[in-house]
Amino acid sequence: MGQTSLDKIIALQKNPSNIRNLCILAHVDHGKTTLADCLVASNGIISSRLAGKLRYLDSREDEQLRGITMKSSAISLHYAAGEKDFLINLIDSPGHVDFSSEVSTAVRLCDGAIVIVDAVEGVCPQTQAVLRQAWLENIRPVLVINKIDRLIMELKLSSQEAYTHLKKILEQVNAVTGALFTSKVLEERADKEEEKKEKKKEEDEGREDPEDVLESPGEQVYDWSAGLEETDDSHLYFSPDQGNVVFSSAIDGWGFSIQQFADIYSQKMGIRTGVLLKTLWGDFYLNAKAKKIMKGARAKGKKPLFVQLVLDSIWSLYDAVVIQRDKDRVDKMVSSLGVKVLARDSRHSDPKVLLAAICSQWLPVSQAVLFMVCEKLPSPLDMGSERVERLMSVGARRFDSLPQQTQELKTAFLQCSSEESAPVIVFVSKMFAIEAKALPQNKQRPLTQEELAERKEKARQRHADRMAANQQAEAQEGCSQSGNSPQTVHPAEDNSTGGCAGGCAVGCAVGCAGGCAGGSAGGCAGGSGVSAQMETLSLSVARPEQVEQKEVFLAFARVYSGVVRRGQRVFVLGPKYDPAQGLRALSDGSAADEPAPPVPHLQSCSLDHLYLLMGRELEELEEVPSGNVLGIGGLEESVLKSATLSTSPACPPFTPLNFEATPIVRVAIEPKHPSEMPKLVRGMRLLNQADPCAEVLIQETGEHVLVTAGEVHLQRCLDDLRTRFAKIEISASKPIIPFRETLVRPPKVDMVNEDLGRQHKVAVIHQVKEEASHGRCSDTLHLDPSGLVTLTTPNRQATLGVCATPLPEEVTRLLESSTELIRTLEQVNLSVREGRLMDVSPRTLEAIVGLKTSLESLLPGRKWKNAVEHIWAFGPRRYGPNLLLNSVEGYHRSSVWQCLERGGRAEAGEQTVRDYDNSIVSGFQLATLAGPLCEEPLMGVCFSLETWDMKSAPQPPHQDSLEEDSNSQDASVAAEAGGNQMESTAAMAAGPGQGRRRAEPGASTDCYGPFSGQLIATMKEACRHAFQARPQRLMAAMYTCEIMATAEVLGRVYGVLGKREGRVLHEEMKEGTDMFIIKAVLPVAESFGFADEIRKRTSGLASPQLVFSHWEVISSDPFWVPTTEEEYLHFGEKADSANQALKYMNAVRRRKGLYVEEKIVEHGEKQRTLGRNK
Amino acid sequence: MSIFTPTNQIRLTNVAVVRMKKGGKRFEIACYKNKVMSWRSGAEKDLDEVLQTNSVFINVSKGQVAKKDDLSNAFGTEDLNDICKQILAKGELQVSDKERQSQLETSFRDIATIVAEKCVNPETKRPYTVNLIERAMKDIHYSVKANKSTKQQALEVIRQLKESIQIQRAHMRLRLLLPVKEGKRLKEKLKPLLKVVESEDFDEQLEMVCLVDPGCFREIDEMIRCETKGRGSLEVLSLKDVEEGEERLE
Repeated sequence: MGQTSLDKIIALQKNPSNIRNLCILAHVDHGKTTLADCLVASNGIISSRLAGKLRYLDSREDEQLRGITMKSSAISLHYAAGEKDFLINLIDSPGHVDFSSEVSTAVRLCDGAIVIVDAVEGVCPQTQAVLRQAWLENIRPVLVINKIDRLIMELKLSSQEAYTHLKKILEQVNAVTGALFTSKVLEERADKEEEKKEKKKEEDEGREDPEDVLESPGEQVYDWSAGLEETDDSHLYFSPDQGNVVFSSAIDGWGFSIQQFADIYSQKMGIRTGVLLKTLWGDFYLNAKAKKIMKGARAKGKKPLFVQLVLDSIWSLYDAVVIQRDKDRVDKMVSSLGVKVLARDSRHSDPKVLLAAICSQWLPVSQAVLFMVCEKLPSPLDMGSERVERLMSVGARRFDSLPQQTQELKTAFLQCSSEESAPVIVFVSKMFAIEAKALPQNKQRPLTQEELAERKEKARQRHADRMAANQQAEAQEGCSQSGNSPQTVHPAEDNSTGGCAGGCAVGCAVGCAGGCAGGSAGGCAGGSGVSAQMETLSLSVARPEQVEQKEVFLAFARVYSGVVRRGQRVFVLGPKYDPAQGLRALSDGSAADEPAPPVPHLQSCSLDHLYLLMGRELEELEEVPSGNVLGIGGLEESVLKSATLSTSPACPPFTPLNFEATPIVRVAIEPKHPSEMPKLVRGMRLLNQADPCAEVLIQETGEHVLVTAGEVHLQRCLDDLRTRFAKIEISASKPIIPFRETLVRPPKVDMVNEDLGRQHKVAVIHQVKEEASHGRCSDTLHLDPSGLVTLTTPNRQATLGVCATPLPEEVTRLLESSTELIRTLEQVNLSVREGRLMDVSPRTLEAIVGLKTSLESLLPGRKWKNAVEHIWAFGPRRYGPNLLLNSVEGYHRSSVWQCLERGGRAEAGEQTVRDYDNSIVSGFQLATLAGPLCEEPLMGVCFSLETWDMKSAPQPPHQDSLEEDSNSQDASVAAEAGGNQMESTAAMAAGPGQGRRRAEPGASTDCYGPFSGQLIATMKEACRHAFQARPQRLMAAMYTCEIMATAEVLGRVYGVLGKREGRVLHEEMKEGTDMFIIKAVLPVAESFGFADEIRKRTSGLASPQLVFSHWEVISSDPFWVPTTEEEYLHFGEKADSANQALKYMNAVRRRKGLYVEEKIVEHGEKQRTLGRNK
Repeated sequence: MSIFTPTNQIRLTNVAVVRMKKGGKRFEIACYKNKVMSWRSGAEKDLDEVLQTNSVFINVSKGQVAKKDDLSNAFGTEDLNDICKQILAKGELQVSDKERQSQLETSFRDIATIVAEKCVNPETKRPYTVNLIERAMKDIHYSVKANKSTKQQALEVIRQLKESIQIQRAHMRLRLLLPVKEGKRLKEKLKPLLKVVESEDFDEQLEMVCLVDPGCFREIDEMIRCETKGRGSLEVLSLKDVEEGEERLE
């Protein structure tokens, strides 16, 4: 590991005041990883020549291929500023909007952030986003303006122009910060006012409890008595003279802060550094005559000091080296700068190499950045109490409301002490998966002296044995092996430690690799001696489990207090854990290693391994003191995505990470081979754990749905699933979109807004046509123009008259929202019917009464008279949003509300009819479960049974009605079980009704199966026909969509919404910012690819969030064809303008394999007219 | 085939012949390929799109037109359009390639849909998606039989799929009420038919809630009715025992 040894870093970790935890944040492609490369190179981990090209922290293959960072990764660096040594825990973060969750996880662990802005592109959407995130997490940012070389080389700006440009960028950044600040102050003032009110109330109430009042005042920090004007915000802004801005070009390896130039020129010109620091940035110029620095450069047309002293020298360097390629001038400059350039570099044909060589010595970017970081960013010790409180108070809970012991932990936070007594508090911000091979215990590592000695002894013994046994064989092998084989074998005899260390290490490494490959053969092929083979065996025995399990999860975490040791047991606190509850349950002195009483959201586990994160490498550690970033192994069982670890049960869980992007891109995932389903499920579980932002779920349809933040994120997740977690072929597709079918009132006007009295007739005509096309014998079916459908059972014993009407929208909504209640209602009814009395809590009864009265109020008028009293059933599944009404004259049955009136059950009505009551209900349930449009459930439809005639009344069956119930159910089942279609009214063979000696009316009907079954089928068909006799509509699931967008892209947002049939509900401006919040509804069917499109069209300035909201009727009739003259005129004969409802309906029908009315060939004569064999 | 080669053989291309025997005579009409089925199903409404010509033939390939007398004898009308419609509706035809393909595709889908509706993954108690079933059916090389009903074939498919993937019929949840006297005896008899007994309650009656394969429902029903002579009863609690709602994988 390069120049800085592990011991040094471990030593540095113990001194929190010299630790800086920071992350690099920026818009995509602004040079985060390149800058990180430069910083890494400064530590000698990679060559400085490769810095910027290697992208060391992008360790994934696809990261390297695509050239974008996809995950945050950490590395620990050492930086010596003067006599002080600093440890810098650097976290590189992705800039792409899809991975902003990774940014959140990185920001949480840091105290400071380097925000990079591209000098050409300026402030970009993600720059704003990361500034906001840094702001929300309360960490201090410093600014790096990167890619200054592009100003010179690409834009060809003069130094003067560049200065104005840089100033503009700085203003932009500060404007964003300012906006964040004002919105916060405004918010806080609003909060404050509310708080005051609450406090007043609390005080009134809290009089009796004076102790509480006494305790809290010290903790009251939210004291923003002043408004915006009085709050000082000057420290927030970036300004070079404050020392928190660095200008750089990471790709060329240079960067500087004003400080550096001030130092240089104060020596040269004899002006005090302090003065120069203040004047180097700003409207100052150097009066050469007076040798004085004067104000007002622009007014006088002079070059500002910054241009004259700083930019000009850089410009001339570029001019000489890259543009003019003037060798003499370069040499002169090199000597005047006092840097040494290797001959190799100066001869190189690419001038950039020479430039980098000069610049990296003259103004090394790592120096400038690291110096600024150490100066300006806080150490873990300086964590603000406000930030601590924000971390500790989950949700809306105020810090004061936490238990006393918890509040005491705050001091532990602030002290950040690494003493033994301090409670350990660790926050895990994400889990990440690495290959087991990459773990340090599974690979080569330098051995300690004792181990070396031991191994030496062993090796010598082995060697001696072997020498004695098969000298011959060894000699042969030695010849056949590659060059390092003698090295491995011979040092065993040798006494020199170094040689042995090398040999053993190689042996160990190869052995391990072989172990992973699963056999000693691999070790042999690795190219070392016999000793390596022996090693292989012993090692592969020692670690069988890690070899099996290729992926290991590590927690990406930071220690906030105390010292974490390997093997230590700690509590894992889930996000919902309540410290008050935990404290109550656990006795005072309980530690994590004792068996504890179960407390919700609290677990204990041990920290098996601790790692120092070094980019793609890991180093194993024994202990980690507070203030450091680390990786923890062995937590995959107890931590899902993020968690808080602590030795004290009083510790509250940290506030959940606030993600800028919520996952919205949904796809259904299936394995290529269906038998690999379990592997997929396991893989998706792993993925869920490894990715902070991905969500996986199984839907009711059995689909496995993956929800990701964007298309790029989706690609990465799929790649991970394919290659790492599931290791199977998978396919991702559009998820299944649910629909509902419903009825509407007959429209009064036609499609061209002409008054239309005959629409109703059209529907009937259509109905008849469909009937004819199905080739159904319709002698049993009779259709009334009023919409009443009468249908006779195949055996002509019973005739049912059913009529369908749409329910008012409010009723549907009410039924939809009270499914639970209806379900209990059904259960109660069931038990009442059986004669058992179920205990119903008065509250449920009350709720049922409430439901009934609200239904009554929502169904007014003559049409619905007594409808509520006559509700027979709900459907589908007995609790859906459809109704069956009993309008049969002379048939009284106890309504669904029978549980309300106990005792007095009216036992009236014909027994015969009552016995088949359940068949009717079952038929209704089946009809509502799958509608005629595309076999989707119905919604908001009311069927009423108008007539029910039984011709020759069948003898009452011997069984009681309860059994009839079962029979009716069984009929439908029997139909499928026997493999014949009971539902189809077509005549069919007797079927396996074997020996059904039921009380059927006459033997002749036997050929139609049991009568109850026929009744179900007839009822179902009657309902379907009644439904079809009315204007039918499809209902689409709708998302509410909240979009945040800036003013300039508002038009495009509307464009995308309009294209996808979205409807804007309202838009408003967010207070204190220039963002608009647009609320819209969008059909779920159109949402696939929506997020991606809107991001693309608005260059990422708008980000939508989708939440399912409701069902909405699609206004167009799926069966609509032009009928009137005007409609023909307007739409043409075929009405080929897309009919949305028809499109959806046909898509669903096609998916389900139902008949789609569609020509196989559009134009008959345009087919291939030659025979096939010609 | 070069265009200058004279051929003495005229091939009918893009022609589908629909034949009908009526009044002892065979009548044929010439239609476009892949169109007759659309006409029959009602998707195609334009007769000109279906017919090559509205004349009725004795033999299409020879170009022999039917005599007027024969037509009026057989059909009772001389209106050719009318006759064509009759022949189209009732005549026999050879199904052309695309028609057959779309038919098979539809029934394949239909079978998969039925299977997906009836079955669950026994591990998760959740249904499989239609897509997955289709893929599994292709994996086992299931070929659709055009002359069998889709439901019948679906049951066959379920049997075959059990060998390659984890699948089973969704169980029915039943509640059995048996009189005490026969309860014990009947329970033993029923045992092989019940998959899972969820609860058992010996009170005045033996009350059992159990999961059964829908295939044995009839048998159980029959058994209970016969053995208890109508005193025992059986009630379907749910037709399909599946997990409801969304579940987050964690």
